[in-house]
Amino acid sequence: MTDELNDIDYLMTLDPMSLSTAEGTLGRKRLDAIIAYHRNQRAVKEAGGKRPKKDSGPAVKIDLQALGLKPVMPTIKRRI
Amino acid sequence: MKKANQPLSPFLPGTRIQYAWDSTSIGYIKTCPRLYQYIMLDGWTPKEDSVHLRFGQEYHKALEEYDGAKISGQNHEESVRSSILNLLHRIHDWNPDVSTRAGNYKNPRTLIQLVLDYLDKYRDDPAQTIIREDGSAATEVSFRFELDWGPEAGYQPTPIMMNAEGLEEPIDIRPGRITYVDKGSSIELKPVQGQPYILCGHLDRVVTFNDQIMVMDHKTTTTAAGSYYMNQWSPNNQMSLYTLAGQVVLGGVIKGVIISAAQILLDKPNAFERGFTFRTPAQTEEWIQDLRIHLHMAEQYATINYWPQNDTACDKFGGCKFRGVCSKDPSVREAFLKADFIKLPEEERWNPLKPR
Repeated sequence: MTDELNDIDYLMTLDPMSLSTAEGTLGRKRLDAIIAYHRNQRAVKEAGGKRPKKDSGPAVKIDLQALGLKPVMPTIKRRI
Repeated sequence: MKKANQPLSPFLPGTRIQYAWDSTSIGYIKTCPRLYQYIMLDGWTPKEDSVHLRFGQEYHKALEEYDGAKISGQNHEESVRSSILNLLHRIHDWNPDVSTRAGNYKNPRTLIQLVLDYLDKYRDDPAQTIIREDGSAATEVSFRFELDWGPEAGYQPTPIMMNAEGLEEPIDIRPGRITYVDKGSSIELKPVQGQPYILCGHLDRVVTFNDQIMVMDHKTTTTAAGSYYMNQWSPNNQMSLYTLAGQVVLGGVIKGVIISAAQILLDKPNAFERGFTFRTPAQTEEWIQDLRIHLHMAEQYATINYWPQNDTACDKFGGCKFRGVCSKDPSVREAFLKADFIKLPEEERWNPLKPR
């Protein structure tokens, strides 16, 4: 399973030109997913939760398939 | 021949005497003349990307674009989308080394988190951005104004003038100088040519807050933005200049600056604090008077082509980036500069006259 940290990294490294803001487009969904992810991260921290570690499982799940995406390249590892 | 859009040089032609100053370059010369020389005159910059600079620039730009979208009539969510989308465009290829402390705190993910947290926190901001006459938001307000004096080298004596005895005499027209004596009576001449000093820069945002017009300056920090943090802004070179600039640009109604600080936190929600720093007219006048002396000294350094070290400033602000150079014997400093720094071409060096 792809963990959520890599999912968001993947989403953020997509060609931004694909993140159209036109209503109803897949691109807008992707942009909204990035925004929703970060808002969720804030909510988790406000609730006293720690940042999820890379191997601790997703705190906020991003459904890449629903966004019409699946990683086609190795995910980028970042130590945050 | 100058290329189109190439900014003017901030230096008098053929000299290293700077006539156009912003808060950054004034800060360098006040902090340490050698620091000023390395950065402003010689163009040395660290080899690695400045994570702090990039992060700060992108943060400012994102907030500016949000303000612009809001003022153009978009609601909060649309303005957030617009700002974040443009931010993603700009940082698409930005990949700082997150194994360093700086990169761990300042990277694309923490940047988006910080921007979004700020925009949501101040969704109903009590500080309202002023709308300019052309309908645009008063964000990134560039200012440029002349002082009533200039570098002495910028004023050339007029060639010749007849005195009372009918003899030719050179006339020195440097400002404030009594230069021509006619049978014992002094004649004060005003400059008719020459380059005055110019102060320039950019105000992040001009706002109304509690019925007052204030400059707002955005800061990002990894430390707590409590009273210790806020105390650093008075006295402070940048905020004194911004107060003065606000008064010049907006006609004397600005009393100070709101510091809008964003603390980047990794395991807790980002924190935001605002503080105020005010300047009385006498304080502003004092700052200008002191600046006159600092700029005079800067011209003296350029005239003798030597910028001394201020060795009491090396440990300020987490340690000067040139400390490793200045600590070496003068004979080997150039080698250390070349090893750890890049010498930027003139057009890429810090230039207060460069538009954003």
